[in-house]
Amino acid sequence: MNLGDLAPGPLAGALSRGLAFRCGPFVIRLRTRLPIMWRAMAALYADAPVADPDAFIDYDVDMRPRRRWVRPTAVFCLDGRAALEPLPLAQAPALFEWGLNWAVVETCQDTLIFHAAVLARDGQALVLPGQPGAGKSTLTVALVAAGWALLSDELALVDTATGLVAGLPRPVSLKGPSIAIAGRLLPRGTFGPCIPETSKGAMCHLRVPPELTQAEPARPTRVVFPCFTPGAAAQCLPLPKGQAFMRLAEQSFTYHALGRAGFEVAARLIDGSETADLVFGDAAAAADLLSTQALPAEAVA
Amino acid sequence: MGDTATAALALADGVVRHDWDGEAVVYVEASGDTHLYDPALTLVLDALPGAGGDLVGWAARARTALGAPQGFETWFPAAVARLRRDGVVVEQAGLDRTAEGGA
Repeated sequence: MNLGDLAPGPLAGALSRGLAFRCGPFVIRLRTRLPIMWRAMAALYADAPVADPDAFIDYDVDMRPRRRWVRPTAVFCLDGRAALEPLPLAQAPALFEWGLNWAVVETCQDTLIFHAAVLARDGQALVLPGQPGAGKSTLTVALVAAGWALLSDELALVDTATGLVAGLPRPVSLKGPSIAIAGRLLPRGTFGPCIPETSKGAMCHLRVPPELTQAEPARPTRVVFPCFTPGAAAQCLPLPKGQAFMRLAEQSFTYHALGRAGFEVAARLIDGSETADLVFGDAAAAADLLSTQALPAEAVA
Repeated sequence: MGDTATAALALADGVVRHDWDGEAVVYVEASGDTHLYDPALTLVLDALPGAGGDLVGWAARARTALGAPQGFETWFPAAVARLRRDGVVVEQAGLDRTAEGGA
């Protein structure tokens, strides 16, 4: 049974008591009495399987209200402890997603984690590391619309033993103009509540239909650094592997914990991948470029 | 790789190097128990042509971008540097560790 199989009333009741569900390799138990979270979960996690009652809980999350009348806020609690700064109640769905990111990064210290989107086609993974504003999420939606499977929008979890990237298909986080663009690119997607005035501007999360996601791990073969540039034609530029390594390290969350092992795993990832920069002004054109053309060969120094 | 860089790296413990055509990256491990400034790490970096002790907390910035709160401590258990064929460092970064401090 998935969360979407529960009618709104029973789903709200289950979430109020605490409902465990599967998300990629993790089991999350969410307890919340916030109606905005009930709506967000119904929209964004409808495809998440309800976990067995005796399943091991990786993340025990409580989204609590704080202050009822004067500027009410939501608090993200992990294992009973407030983990992040409270945010206005209307931003609770964003706080939940950010809190999960934080929890995964804090607890998966034996996994090499990058701030990157991951998509796969024909069993091969495309890794898109990127700073906020690089156009990563919009490009991710465009690639899904072009036939790629979504493994993750925010976190690339690289198994240090196998080098494979795990599937963690959670809602895609969209900001500002990207929200409308993503809606046009993927009309089959489902938006969660619109969240105004976050620290990143207006936000909305998009659930990608389950048939367009992939939970199975995939081997990374391309590492592409997107760079959204208004008006620019989509173009892949060669990127030497040393530079790609440094850029990838910049986007790592757990490299510090893995130390030398993290260095070696990242180096192997770059060894086994083609690397490039991708400049684009139109996400659909960039997705088409990545779907139909090989990356440019690296110029030998 | 240049003589100076090779000598510096050969002398240091906790140094790993990975070569690609025309350039290399090195991993330099610090003592692990210092805060913000690590003499051993700085010694190695200072010996590399073009390098210096100015380490940047990249992961802290990335965490902030993901919504983590401010007020986290940062320190540097290691650094990475990219070297040209002649051993000159053209890019470096501290691998910072952030710990819960202000949540």
